[in-house]
Amino acid sequence: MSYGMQIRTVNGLENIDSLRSLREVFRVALTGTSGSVAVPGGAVEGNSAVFFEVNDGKTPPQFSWSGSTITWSGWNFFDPTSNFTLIVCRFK
Amino acid sequence: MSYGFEAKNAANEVVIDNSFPVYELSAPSTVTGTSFGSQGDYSFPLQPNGTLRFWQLGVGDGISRTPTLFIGNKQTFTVRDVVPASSLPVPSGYGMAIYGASGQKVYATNGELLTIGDKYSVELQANNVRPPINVSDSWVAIETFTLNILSSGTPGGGGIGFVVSSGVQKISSTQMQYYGQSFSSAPEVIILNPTVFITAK
Repeated sequence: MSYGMQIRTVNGLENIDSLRSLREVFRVALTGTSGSVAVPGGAVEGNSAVFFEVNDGKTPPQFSWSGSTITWSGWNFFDPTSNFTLIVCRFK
Repeated sequence: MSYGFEAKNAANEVVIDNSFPVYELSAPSTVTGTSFGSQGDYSFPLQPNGTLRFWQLGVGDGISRTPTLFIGNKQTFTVRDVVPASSLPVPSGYGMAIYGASGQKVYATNGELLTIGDKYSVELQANNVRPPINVSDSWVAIETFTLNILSSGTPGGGGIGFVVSSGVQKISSTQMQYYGQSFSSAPEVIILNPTVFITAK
């Protein structure tokens, strides 16, 4: 490359101008089968992905975005988790 | 920004900064599943807490989530388990590391940055139609389990519903569609929710 910045990726050295990364902007342990939480870091539905780590072996919740707030609740017909970690990752 | 570190791509999206840890490759590996059901599928345990799992899909491959495991349509998959840079060992010898204000490592040159494509969703429709979407990447991470229930096809006849897993299948080099397998019974109702996933390159 003649200028700019390259970084080491899973596919070798790549120019940063054409890359997207995955950045963990929020990780929080939650209890309860429903609730809502404000996510920092400019995360909204269009730029982020949501993952759950369930700590009690039950079913991860359904969730929805409203701006930068995530609301969660249990699915019908499944025993909902009340002990889980919510992880929000921005990719753009 | 007034101080610190920030690197953006050509679309003005932050790739690395000194606020949030980027995900880097922890260990590429293959996983081997256990026979599941009678349709030639295989089950795989969830990845360890603290990691995200990306699955490599060749044409025809499908992977899906239930609340407690993955179901795929072949026995062995190549996966990338990625972790935040903050949980990787501190580099030694040479290279560069970036730390956040609270001292957590947010990037280090001794790791391999995971390169993301985009976020997509695929849906199952009531008549079992699975509309394809255009995706050319081969690595996928499913956000979470979403509830989909299909009818047994005997309306009013005391039939049952079938809960199907939430997943995605690569159907050509440029297209993917919903993929799921029945793993539980339910009341005879129809409930449909898209499967959301992100891709990596």
